[in-house]
Amino acid sequence: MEHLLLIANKRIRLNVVTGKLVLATLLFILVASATAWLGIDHYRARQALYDAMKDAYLLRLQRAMVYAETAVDLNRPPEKLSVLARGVGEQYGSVAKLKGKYGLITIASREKSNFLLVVMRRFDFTTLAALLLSLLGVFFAHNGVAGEREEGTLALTLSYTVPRYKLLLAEYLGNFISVFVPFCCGWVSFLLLIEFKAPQLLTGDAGKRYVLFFLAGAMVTAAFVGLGILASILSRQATTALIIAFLGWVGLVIIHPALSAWIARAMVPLRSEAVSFSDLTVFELAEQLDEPALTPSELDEDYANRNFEQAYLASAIDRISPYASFVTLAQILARTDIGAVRRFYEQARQANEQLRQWQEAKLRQYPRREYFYAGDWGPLDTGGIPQPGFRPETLRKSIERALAPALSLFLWAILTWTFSFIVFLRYDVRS
Amino acid sequence: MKWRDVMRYTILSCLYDYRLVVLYAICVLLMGLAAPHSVTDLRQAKVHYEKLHAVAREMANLETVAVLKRPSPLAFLAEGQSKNLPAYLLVSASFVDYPLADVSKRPLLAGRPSLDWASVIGYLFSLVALLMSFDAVAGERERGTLRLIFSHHVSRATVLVGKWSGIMMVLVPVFLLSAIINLLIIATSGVINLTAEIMTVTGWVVGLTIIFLGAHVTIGLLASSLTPRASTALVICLLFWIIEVVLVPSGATLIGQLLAPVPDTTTYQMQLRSAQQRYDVNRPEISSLMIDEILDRPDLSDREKEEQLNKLQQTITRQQRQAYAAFHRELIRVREEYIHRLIRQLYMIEVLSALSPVSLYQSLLSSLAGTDFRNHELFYRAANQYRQIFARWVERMKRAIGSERTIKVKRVSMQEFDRAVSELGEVGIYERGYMLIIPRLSYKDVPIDKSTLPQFDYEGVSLNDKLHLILWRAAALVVLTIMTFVMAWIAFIRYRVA
Repeated sequence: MEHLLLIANKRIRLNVVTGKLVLATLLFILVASATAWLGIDHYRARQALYDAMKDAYLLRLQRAMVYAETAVDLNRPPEKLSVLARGVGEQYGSVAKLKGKYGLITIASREKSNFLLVVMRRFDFTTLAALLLSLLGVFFAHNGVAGEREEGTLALTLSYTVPRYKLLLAEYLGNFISVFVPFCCGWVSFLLLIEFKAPQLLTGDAGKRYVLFFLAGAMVTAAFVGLGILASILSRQATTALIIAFLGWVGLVIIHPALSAWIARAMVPLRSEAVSFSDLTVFELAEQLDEPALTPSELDEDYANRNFEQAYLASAIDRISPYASFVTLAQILARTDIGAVRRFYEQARQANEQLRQWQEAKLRQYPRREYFYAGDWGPLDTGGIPQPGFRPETLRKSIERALAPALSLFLWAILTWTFSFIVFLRYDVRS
Repeated sequence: MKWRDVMRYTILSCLYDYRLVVLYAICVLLMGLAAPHSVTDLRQAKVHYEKLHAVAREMANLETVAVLKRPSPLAFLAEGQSKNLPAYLLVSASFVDYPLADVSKRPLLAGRPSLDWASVIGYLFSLVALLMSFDAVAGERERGTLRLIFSHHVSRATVLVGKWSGIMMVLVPVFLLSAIINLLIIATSGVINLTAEIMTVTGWVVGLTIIFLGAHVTIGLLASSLTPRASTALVICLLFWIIEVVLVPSGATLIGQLLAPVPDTTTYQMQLRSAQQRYDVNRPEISSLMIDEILDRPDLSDREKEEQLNKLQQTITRQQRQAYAAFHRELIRVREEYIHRLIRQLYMIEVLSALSPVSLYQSLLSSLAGTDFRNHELFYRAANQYRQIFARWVERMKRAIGSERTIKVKRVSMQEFDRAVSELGEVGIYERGYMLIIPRLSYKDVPIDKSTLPQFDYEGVSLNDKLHLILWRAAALVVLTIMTFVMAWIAFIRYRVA
């Protein structure tokens, strides 16, 4: 035990002396403050827009004279934790326009600024922290074994009757702490800035979600430190180790998402892309041309379902990579991932069904007022119209969904360590 | 000892290093993997285009027609922004509009990189070029071979040129091999025919890639000549790579959004809606009261009453047309300003991200492939030209339908009135046997003969124009390579060999 702590201590001290730790801490604090600042502004803008527009449909409803014109909106308020991870929800849309039996559900985005522009990486704490954690993990850990061997200190350390697993564990621990402490500083400054600037974002179960995010950060750090150590053990020289570890990083962070998107699109092609004219007459035409068995609403549903299925498949394949698992995990905690979008879509569908039933009930009461209006009939009876509200996911449900990516992170941490241990047993420590 | 000797020695040491051989294998493998990816994408794009084409023709009416962009067969070089841009525009007689709903073809997968030449070469080959050259100087110094080389009475420039060409002699064949494999797979799949034009563009891409790789080799040499230790040079190279691949493009997006902001969709739609409301309020309407006023005047004969009614109808029709035209001008202004701002933001981001050689190279490739934003803008302009042809056609059709004529007020039966309203107008009043119809302003539901609809034929940008488009950026890439080489040379002159 004392050997273990001693070696870990030495590693941490080395990282302090070379300035790596301080640099990483500053970087994390900078990233956390910048993203929190931008994120809060962004959240406030969205919240203001939401407050201004959430009752807009009631005005439209007052003006409606016939039942064919009755329509309601299902509004999704911005998530408090979208400061932490913006996710895909914003791109997909936050307001569902429901027309009951008189049209299809359309989901639009109010916040989208430039629809011609797809931002490569969004600036939230999650993605930047994931990038930094993975890079630092790899950079710090790569000379854990090969570097020691080159300097000749590895053989000296082992001459102290330290078992190899302890040495490996100590290197692991030392590097983990050196990467994780800067992350903690960033996390704390992120929370502090939110507490001072927008304390309403920390109410409810948000605090618990932030704690879970913290744990996820620990797991992703462990996974990438494990990767760095593994690369270190697989090579004789520190530079080779760095190249191997960095290539692993490129594969997991840059190339892997492209591959998973490709596999998802090849396996779940969007069958009815012709419907993207999003015009009712065209839906009917597309039906004649392409899918004779489907009605427009079925086509629409099919399109949405396949879109979700595609995205689900892509995110399932993503879980192979610890980087993507961590980002998905944070998005699930922030309720901005694909699953949350799907939840919104399904609630919209339910609400639309309720609206349809209400319209039919009213039509039984006033059968002549479906499309036609005569001047002296007075205002439309809209009593009891369902006014849908979005029900966000509970913490329990979020945790259930977060288990799969968490498991992937855990497996990465365990497997890299086990594999490194096995390889290290055969490692030639002579310089 | 000449530079050729240094080159030969560098080639041998590259081939001897097993790390690099593994890297070459990864490069070739990924370029091979990119081929089936491009094939599935091209095939899907073709099917999608044909479906949309059929639907677009069916849905054409006198108000709007959809014009489609043919998918570029060169998308295997770079998918560019076109995968996220709408594949069609809606053309009406007075403006060209973007379909606002569902513009992104795959909203949930947007923003992920794609597997094409631009990504594989831009991300991976650049990294390999850096990894090959980082220890060219510092590594030799550490091993002590650099002193031995200089004992042979060679100038430093000779050594640097020899190193550079040696690394390029290994890297370029690997790239050519993987490119040929990629092209062979795509050609045998039968999705595209490798025409002369495609081969010419590919030739240009090969040339640009060689310059791009050369730039990265010089950057590696520069980093290597700035530091005494190879591991420091490696860290510098990797940091540079992260900056050019991750930091600059996302930073450019952020700064571009701050410098050239665009209003959000809601603001834009509210502008449109308020124009519509102003039009609805200001639009002069004919009412039964006005008719009653004329019909109830005892001093007029039936004939004079009819004349008065005709005059009233003409005035209102004229006023309505004026109001509609004003409303239309307002709509065009709002839309064009909005789209102009969107485009300006994109250009701003592109200019800013050209700071990174990788982004510059990728934008060059997507320009050549016809999938970048410039090409999309040219498509938008072509659609605007087509709009004029379409507008003339619409005028002709409207004249043929004849609803531009004024419709005389006359005494008719209720059935005749109903028929006239459905044929000619949208608003009609039937008052004591008199029929007043305001001619229709919307022609959306008028059945038309689609065989006379003018064809929209946009074949994409010609090769000459494409070369014209990339001229400045290609020059920037060449200048960058030369500049870094000069910098590497200066750094190497000052390098302490001992």
